[in-house]
Amino acid sequence: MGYEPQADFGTPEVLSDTQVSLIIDGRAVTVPAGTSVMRAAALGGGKIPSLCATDSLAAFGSCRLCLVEIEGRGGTPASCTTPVSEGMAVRTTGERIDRLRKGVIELYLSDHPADCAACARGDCEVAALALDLGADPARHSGGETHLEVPTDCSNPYFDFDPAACVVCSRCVRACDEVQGTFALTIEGRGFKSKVSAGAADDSFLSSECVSCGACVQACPTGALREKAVAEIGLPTSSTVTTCAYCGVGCTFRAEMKGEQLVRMVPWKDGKANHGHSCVKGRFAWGYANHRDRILEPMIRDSVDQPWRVVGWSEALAYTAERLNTIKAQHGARALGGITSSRCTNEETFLVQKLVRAGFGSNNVDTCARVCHSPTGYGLKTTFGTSAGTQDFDSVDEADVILVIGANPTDAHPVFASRMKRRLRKGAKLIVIDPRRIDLVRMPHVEAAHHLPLQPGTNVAVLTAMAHVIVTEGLADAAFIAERCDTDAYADWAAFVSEPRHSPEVLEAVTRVPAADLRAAARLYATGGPGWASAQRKRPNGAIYYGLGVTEHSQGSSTVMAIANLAMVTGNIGRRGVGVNPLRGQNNVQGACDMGSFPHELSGYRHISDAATRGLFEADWGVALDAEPGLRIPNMLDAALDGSFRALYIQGEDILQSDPNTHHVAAGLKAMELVIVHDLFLNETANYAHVFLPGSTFLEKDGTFTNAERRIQPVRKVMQPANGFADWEVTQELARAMGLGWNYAHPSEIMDEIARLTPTFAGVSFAALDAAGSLQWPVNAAHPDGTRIMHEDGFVRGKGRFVVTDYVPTDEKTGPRFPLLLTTGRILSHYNVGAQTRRTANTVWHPEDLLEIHPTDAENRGLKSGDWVRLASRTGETTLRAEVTERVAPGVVYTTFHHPATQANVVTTEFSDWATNCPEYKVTAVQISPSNGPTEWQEDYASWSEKSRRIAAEPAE
Amino acid sequence: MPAGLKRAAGLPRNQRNSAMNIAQLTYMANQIARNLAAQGADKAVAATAQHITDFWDPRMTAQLLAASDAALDPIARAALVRLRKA
Repeated sequence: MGYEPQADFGTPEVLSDTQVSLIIDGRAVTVPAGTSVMRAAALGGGKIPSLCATDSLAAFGSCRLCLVEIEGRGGTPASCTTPVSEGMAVRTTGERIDRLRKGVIELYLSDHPADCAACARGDCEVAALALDLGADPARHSGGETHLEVPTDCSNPYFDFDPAACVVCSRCVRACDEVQGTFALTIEGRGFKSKVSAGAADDSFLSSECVSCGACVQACPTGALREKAVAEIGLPTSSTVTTCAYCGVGCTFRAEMKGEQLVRMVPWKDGKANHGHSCVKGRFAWGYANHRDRILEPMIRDSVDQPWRVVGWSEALAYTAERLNTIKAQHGARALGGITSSRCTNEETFLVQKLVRAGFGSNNVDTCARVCHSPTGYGLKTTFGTSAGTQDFDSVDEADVILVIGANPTDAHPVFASRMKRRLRKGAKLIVIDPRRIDLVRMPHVEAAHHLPLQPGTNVAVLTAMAHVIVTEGLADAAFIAERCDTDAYADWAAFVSEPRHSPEVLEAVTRVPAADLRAAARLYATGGPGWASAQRKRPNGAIYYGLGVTEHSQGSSTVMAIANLAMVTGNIGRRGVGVNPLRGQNNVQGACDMGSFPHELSGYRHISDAATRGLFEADWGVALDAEPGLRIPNMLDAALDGSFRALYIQGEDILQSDPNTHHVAAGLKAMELVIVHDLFLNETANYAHVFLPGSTFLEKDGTFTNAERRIQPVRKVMQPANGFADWEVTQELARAMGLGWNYAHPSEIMDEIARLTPTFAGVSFAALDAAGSLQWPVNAAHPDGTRIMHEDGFVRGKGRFVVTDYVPTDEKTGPRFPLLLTTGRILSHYNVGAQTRRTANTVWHPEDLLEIHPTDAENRGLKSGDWVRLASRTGETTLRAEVTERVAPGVVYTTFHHPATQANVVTTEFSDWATNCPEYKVTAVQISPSNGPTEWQEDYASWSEKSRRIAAEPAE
Repeated sequence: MPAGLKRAAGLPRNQRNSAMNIAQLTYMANQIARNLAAQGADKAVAATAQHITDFWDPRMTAQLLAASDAALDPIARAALVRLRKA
């Protein structure tokens, strides 16, 4: 595909059942009622010139270029703000209109740089219009201008050149309407009007700007432009692909100049992001060609030796030989693998196939173990399948939004913008979180209730909410009778109604004031005072949750408690409602779908089910082990026991991301063979014997599945720098082990997945190319996919209420460790930071900080910026303090993006009772002033440096 | 090798690990039982046994079955009796 920008219809799409026909320049056009004349003209093929209009933003009517003549009406109205009417006759050109437009553009030109770089590139709408209209740039020259105002280069990814700015307000409106940050404003009036980020003395970097790129996207001139465009030039081709950061799954146009990526531009037709983006997906892709990337395979016999660079054939032969030897000596169950939630569905499927069919064990797990495995267990138990119930668009119809244990503005920013837009339109918000996350109060958004619970008491809070709903008669009896298992409901209702589950009794453990909790429960169930009489139906209540729900000793119980709440209020099976897990990684949904868990095959079918197993055995031509295998923490335990000896890890850094770093290190060190397949020598590679270079999402074809169950294409835009896409590496390893795999393209792997997985039956690369994306299940009953689950009944038949008893975690505070540490993410970084730390995103977050409440800080003599020793029963580390009221007294918080901090040195081995998902969110700690890094940090730094050595000359 | 790791791996491997692993498995079984206990003892015993069958690698179950059940809660202990028979 050659390069051309996506079509812009000037004003947003309007949906209406009524169609209106009109005549534009003699052509008949029919559009939905409420559409602007500008959009109608663009849809009819005759675009009207404008500067301030773009179809991602509401019409503004300021640039006076889109003037038209309408028969029977006087003057020249702006087409962007004029709605169509039946039989209207519009003229978009003509002598009078052209003269007016020319006059306007000449005024713009009088204050536009003559040497404008964007104009020269052909990247400026002012220049294009001037050319079209034959404007004279010198007509109004000599007057006062803004041409001397300096460029703001503070943002690492884009510049703001006020001289080229036409003050059309598109950027300001994009920041408000699309992103919802309200960081930009027009400062001053009249001639002094100028676009300003933050307060008068702020730059883009120092302002509230979150660098989402919406302003750059909206800018019609070169005033806001990517630095990369200035450096490399305009792209010459583009390919639509899917972002590899979070579970929102934004689609982008990768805009290329030859094999060089110029910029990632959010794709307007992307159903997950609708043309929006965040700082990570839009800008933080520089890691793809970072000098730290390892491009050649390396091996070593022991981890205290330097790495030896070898060719692919030697590396694969060495690895296969060692795997086969260990298997022969210790049996198939001594071998295992970890699939990556960063890689494609096809790659994930191949790794689990290699483990099950090649290694001969079910010891396969994925990073979902440490994030959303409780979602899998909880939603399967209550609803019958392990997935979010809605699509993202559903939020537009939510009346009450309950966010628990999620921080969408940092971790799922593009979806957060959608949610904020809905909240600005009046939906009510309840936030249940130990921290005062941004959503609690930010420009034009304020939670009706923030319940700042004690970390570890999610189940108590949700049971207390259920208590209020059931005992106050707010349950949706009709829904329960028709859709749910009524015996299970009766048991559950009796359980939650017990007085010991009242908010008043539980306040002692949750620390949530009972009155607030009651009010929040009533709001979720009823929409608040006056709702029922005004609306004559129940409100749409939608629950969004994240890892603050799952990463607890009772993660699975909390997921089931959420499902119970949704069922008891009838909030399942239609738009605007539902249970929505916000997935962490780009393909964590896909990794789970693909059979990455040790107990189940693709499509969530248990390995003990002979019929399902038989299907795979027939297709693969091997016998499969019928018993579940080891999960990641079990693998580490079994390694120390000597019964687990070899591990193939694709695209995950378990040493940094998994809890209790010392234990992970000991487990890895006990293994005979650790194979790391990754972009970088990550922390886990310090304990590896084989390093197989990985490829980025830009270098391969495949699919990712986002949090909406949406399967989206990932398309190769450049050759793999390491020579092979990851699926090819796995295939070559399988072949070296003697398996006769012969996939020529990832589409053939998807065909196999579709053949073996009923929920994917209708999925193929051709179907995805045609539809753009598909939400599973895609099968004979749902050929176009499934936007909303459980519409006509639950997947398991009747919805099942599950009694969730609050069992306090065994991680307790006491005199030695009086504070609770909880962990999370920040907007500019992603997970262990392997990608984002290798980009300019570090300007926003160069190190992990420890958030401490002022009271706790004062008691210990700590100020912001001080070094703090953070110690738990498991270990200790140091980092700098940030004193803030975002955390409650008694709670401290940090991120885990930087290996120097190693926050997971302090996290414990406690884990979810059902899935062993680690309890990252609760660690009893003590903090004290410190002079600098701990002994462990210094030791680790020198060990890490030593174990990353690569021999200067490849051995002969 | 970092000093921290050295401390963590201070004990002889086999001696330390099997004892630690039994303690860990006992903890896990008790944790499952405690979370299912609210269903009532009979259902909880059956559900605990089923959970272990569904989600544990057989070597984990075997290790726990071979060890002393003294540290197990009554529901977990009854579940293991059921698994031993199975």
